[in-house]
Amino acid sequence: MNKRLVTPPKLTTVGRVGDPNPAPFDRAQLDNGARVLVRANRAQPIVAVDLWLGVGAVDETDEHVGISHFLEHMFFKGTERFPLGAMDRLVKEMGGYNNAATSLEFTHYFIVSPSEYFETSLDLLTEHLLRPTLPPRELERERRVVKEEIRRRNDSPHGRLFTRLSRAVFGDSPYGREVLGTPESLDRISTDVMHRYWSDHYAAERLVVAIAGDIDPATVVEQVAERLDPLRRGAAGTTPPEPPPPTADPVQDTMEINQGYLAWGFRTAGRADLDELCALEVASTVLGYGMTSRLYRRLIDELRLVTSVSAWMYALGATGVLGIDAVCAPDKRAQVEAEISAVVSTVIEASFDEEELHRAKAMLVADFAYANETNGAVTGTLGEHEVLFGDAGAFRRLLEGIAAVTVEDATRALAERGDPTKAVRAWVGPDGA
Amino acid sequence: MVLDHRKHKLSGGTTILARPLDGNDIVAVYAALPMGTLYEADEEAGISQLVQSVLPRGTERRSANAFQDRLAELGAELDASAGTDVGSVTLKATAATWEPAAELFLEALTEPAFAEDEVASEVEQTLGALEAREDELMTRALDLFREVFYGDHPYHKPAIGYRETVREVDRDQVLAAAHRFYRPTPRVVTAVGRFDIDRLLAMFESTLGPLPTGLPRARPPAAEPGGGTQRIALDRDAAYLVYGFPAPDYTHPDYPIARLVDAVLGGSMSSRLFIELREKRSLAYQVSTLYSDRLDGSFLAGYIVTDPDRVEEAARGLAAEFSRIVTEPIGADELSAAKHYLRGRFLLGVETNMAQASRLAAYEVYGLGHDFGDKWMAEVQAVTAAQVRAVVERWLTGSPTCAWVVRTGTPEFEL
Repeated sequence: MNKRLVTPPKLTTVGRVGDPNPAPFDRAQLDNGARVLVRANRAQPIVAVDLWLGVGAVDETDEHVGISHFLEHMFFKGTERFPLGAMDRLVKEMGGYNNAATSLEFTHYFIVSPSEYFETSLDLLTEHLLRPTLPPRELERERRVVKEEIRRRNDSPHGRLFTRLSRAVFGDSPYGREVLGTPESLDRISTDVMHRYWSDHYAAERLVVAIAGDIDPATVVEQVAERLDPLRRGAAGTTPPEPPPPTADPVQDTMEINQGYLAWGFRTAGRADLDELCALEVASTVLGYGMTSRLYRRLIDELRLVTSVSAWMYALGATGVLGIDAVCAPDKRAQVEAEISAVVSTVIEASFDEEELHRAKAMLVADFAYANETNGAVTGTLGEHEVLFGDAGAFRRLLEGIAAVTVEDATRALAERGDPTKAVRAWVGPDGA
Repeated sequence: MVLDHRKHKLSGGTTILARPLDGNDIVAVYAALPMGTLYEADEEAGISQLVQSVLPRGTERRSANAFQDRLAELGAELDASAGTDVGSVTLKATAATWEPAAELFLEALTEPAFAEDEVASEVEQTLGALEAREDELMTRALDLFREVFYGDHPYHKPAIGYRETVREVDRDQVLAAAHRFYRPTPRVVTAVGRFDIDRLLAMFESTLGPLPTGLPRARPPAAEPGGGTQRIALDRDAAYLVYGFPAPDYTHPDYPIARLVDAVLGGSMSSRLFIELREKRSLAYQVSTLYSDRLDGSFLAGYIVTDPDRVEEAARGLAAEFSRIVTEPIGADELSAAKHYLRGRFLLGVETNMAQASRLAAYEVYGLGHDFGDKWMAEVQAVTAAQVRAVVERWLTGSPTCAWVVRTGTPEFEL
């Protein structure tokens, strides 16, 4: 490789030995603004290389909704140096796997492989980032593939349910957009539009390169700096404002299915409000995570009313959603909703005990450890936190925040956000139910 | 890669494979025993899975709630499930809590209560899950494929059972089945992660040691799959097609070669199915293969989720790729890529402690030997193009099995 004159980036170690994995890790900022995160892990000869971009559906226009995800598909369509199909073929020859994902707020591309192929992985991903061909013929073919992806999502009861819920909770705001877009919006995306979107958004300010595995951090950061030297600086993304409050009208849809799928959503603050986020993580765990939760015990153990039930928290830039979902016999809908309402109200009014608090925290902490066992998961955690919080180590603040939550904190946050009479309700069930 | 471990036999006969590691703070424990659809009569379909799902719902010492509370308090996860011919009970814990968590694991294995209430509750929940399962059409297409492929052989059943069989299950049946499968303890337990090996062996010896594992279970006769086509028509937005053939079992000399064929056809985004049906013809977002490998009755199938108006084209496309691999031999590049692919994926497939524990347990319980993986991987690397040709001719030229889940009104077609 030709050596270019690049200032060697300075590495800062974040965290120390004994901190929850993936700390400690190394962080560096390149001259053009791109950030690099490296977690060395010598346990096995495996490496994950993961490019994170702060680009997602919230950055789109209503006219071209779905373009971030469509671009994610087009990313794999080759460069001059790696013609169409070469990346997939090379990754196969490495015995690795490559994939990508797009959400409302980010897009990421990764290759996991035996560590001897680290340089090839880095070369492939950075080359496709810097110089994608975006060929018009492939754009037409891939448009149909994305439409098939939409079809598959819409044919799944849960896929349809969460699309409906998200639209109902966030309305017409950027947070309510469908990441996959619609067949109509996809048809409006020409090669020019796609190329412009790539050149406006795939820039250093929005890029985070996360690497984990059997590698040496200092060498790796230099290699990344060299590859990314040509990347334009660009501008950082902006966070769309909090959407107006949702209307409480229930949304529903029918399909030829046996069961009823219901979801409730409550609007919350965005991720900047770390205290509320942590309190609601604990509250949703007490309410609806696992067999010890309030909803499980009441709706499954005691009443045998539903097949599954859970509660969860999903925080975005300037807003978020506390959700509850359940699957039940279609004729039980009213009873299920009444019971969910009763369980939530009981927690709001009578709170919960210290043992429940302790269990919820223990589960959240252990789950975090289990969820960060692989190198691919570690680059996911580091990249996502860097892109969303501007701080890859934010997971430590979240874990500390969760540890500090009291019964009163969690109850208060739930009372403030989770009033059952104000739930946004979505339902997908068979016709006539 | 060789998964080094210490092998130890408890006094009652249970084999323990322990692999202490310090790469992370996680401890994975995996108990395996012969159970599942293979060992069930049709009229008791689903009993293995019911036994497993009630198992963590309370012991003679603790109610279901107390048991689950204690697990949660430790941040530990205990799961039990059953598939076609192996059942498992797994535990995930952290280095700080593995000892009390392992005590719970042993308690569930040796003193499950199978309380009447818990059985009834699980039956009810399974009935709901059966309804929901039909709503996910990829699952439904694969279920249909197994029904056609296996015919009368016990493997035809879904592990979850049927409404009619599950509805009837009571506590006595669960107890009888649990005794039959466990009699009274699992044959193989593996542990991988950060633990003290002497402490672990002592704990297992004191609880499982005195209990006999019984004789090895005789396997029912091997499956003799046939071909055929069945379809389900529904008013839905997508169509789901599965198309496949019998494939070599673990112990068949053709096994490593067939795994290469699978890697060429469906492995990764650089496979024949992906390139032809998705990249070139935009027929699908999801298209791949499934190699369901086991001691007998293995199959290799291709599947695709497609536009209901393009079902015939997609089905013909699937069939064409299974024929083309016979008529158009695999090239040297394709063969070499597939070999590398299998070797890399074999390594990546054991990245987690639980994946290692599961792989060790599977080889042991199937009697394949702990180095089975390394052996077949070495054989893979020596496979020639001529061997591949012989294998595809032997396995992929008979009658295919087809399971079509299509939209109501889709015209009949024949391949």
